[in-house]
Amino acid sequence: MSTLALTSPQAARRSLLTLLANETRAELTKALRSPAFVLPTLALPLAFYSLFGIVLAPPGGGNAGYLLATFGVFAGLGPALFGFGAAIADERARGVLALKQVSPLPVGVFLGAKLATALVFTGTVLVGLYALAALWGGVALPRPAWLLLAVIQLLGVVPFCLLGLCIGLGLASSAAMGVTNLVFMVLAVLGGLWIPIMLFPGWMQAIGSVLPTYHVAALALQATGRTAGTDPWLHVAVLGASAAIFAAIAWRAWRAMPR
Amino acid sequence: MRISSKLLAAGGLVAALAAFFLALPEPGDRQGAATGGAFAIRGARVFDGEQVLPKATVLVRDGRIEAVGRNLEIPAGVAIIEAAGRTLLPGLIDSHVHAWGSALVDALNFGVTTTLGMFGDPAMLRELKPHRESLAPVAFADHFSSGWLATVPGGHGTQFGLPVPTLTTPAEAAPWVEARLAEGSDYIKIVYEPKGAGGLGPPFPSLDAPTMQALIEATKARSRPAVVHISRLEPARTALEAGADGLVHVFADRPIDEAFLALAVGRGAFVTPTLAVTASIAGEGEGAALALDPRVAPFLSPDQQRTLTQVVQHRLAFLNPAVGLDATRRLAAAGVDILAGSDAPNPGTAQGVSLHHELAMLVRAGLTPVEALVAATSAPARRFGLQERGRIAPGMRADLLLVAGDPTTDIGATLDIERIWKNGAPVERRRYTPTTP
Repeated sequence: MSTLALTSPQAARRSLLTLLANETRAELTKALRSPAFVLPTLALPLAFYSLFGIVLAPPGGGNAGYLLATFGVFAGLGPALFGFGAAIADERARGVLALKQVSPLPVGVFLGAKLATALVFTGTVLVGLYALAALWGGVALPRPAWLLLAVIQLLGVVPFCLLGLCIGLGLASSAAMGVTNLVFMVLAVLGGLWIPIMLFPGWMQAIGSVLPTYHVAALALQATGRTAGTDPWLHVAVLGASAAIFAAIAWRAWRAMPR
Repeated sequence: MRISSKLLAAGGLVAALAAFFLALPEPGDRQGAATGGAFAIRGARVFDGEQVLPKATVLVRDGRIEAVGRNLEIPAGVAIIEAAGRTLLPGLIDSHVHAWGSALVDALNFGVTTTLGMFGDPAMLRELKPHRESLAPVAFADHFSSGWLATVPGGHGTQFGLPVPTLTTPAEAAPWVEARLAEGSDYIKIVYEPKGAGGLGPPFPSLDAPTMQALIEATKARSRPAVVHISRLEPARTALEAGADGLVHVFADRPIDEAFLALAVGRGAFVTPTLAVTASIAGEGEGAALALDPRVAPFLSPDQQRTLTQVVQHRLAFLNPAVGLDATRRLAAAGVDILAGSDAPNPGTAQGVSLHHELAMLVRAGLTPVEALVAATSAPARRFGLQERGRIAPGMRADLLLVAGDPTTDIGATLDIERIWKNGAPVERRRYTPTTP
């Protein structure tokens, strides 16, 4: 608190921003130096979308447009879950997190940098997906729909990041990687990101409909003009509630950590 | 200086992203350019959508038909396709389909160049609309559609688990129609399957007559066609009395009567009998037989193979195909417009191929082969206001089907497909390896 007394509020905010920028750059550098993170998060959504949305999709069948909405959600799932879940568990195990805790780095900056990194990765994949969809998928949307889609698919990573945080703070490093992978697959497949959820049997749809990925995908589909027959605010409410629950769990795990 | 170069980089990134967003395509951006060039189809028997020209030459240029004539002079340098002894038809129009997945590719593979959806995903329709305005070569049939259909909660059309917006009262009709038109629907389809005397009828609820009437009136107020799904005579009568432009099935429960004929003629209504699907629901198994036809089998996609050989699980006992055939014959004889529709991909039917089945059924009902061909070309184009389709005439879109033999006397010859053109570009027919020995 003493720093606040010494500096003006603007300067404090500015130094915080500089701190966030530096921390984000460090996070990005770290992520980019890890091919095990970069390849799956960047290449997987683009490769899968090319395959299912374009190459294997019958022309004129509307698959490219539908899967653009769901694969754009998938694009954010990897960076969020792996960047927060497996990565934080690893940082904990190697003592990096403890180092950050004793350093004067505010926890908000630590998490903000990770969120910014997830957003940069997601945004990069989205640019690739939109280009594929426009050039080879025959997808054309009104300009506001393109923007709304991007906003939903970017903001949609927040609940996934918080879920990743629960895993990263709550589980041992050895378990975190496996659990992250499992959660990643379940959220992607049962949430209907790879295959439209209405093609599943009823019991699978029932499971899918409680997953946050399903609700982000429903909003993305609605943004592209696909009537999901549901109230968009319901999806927003479910996502808000699940984000709050994940945040509470993460907070408890944070408090329970030895320091 | 370091700050400003950073700002410059950030500004550049923002500008690049903005430029990227502005470059993303919007619906209607696609300015369809036809493949350049011209060709002439010489000496074929030409069914022009209305009548037969015994021997004519058709000149195609830039995706459109430029000229049709008996002794047409072919300009120098124009490629000539000799077609003596063959028959050239307008690309066929299927007036009753449900398009999902590979439907439009499968339809085009059998010479169906335009499809009228009678219930489907409006988002798919919106994505496809730019293509049907364009003359650029496409690998699939053009699509028009009602989008969703008008039905009650739990009614026919809701059994597929799709988010069909339902309604129950006349007061909801006008906003419902407005919402569909805003979604992109080209026309409105209404399901009318009320319980008959003694509570008989299909095992699901239906819109009531006042709501149907309100839907029809709201649709007509917007100058769009309102079509009604029925399966029985009395509901069909109520639908026409309510002002329906057409019926998208013929009834098959009770024999047609004079009063109904007079009503249909008086109202100028059209009927899309969908006889092939009625026969399938009655368990006649003609679809499975068609799947073995050597002119059909190699060209069936896995989806077509599956739906064509599928057997209806729940046969509707009140449907009698002979009644539908007889009603179709008498309606046609009275001058009511008959449209050919397959209702694919219902069990026992498949996209594209079942329109050929339907043409044969129409002839079996008593239409002449030429009347059947009219039902799949100029009649639907006229009744649904499809510009530049369904006829071979100057200015028309060059959607063409060249068959061996003479379907104007033997309707089965429509399956002897030799060439297909869509927007003046040749369509390479897709061959599939047969999946069953």
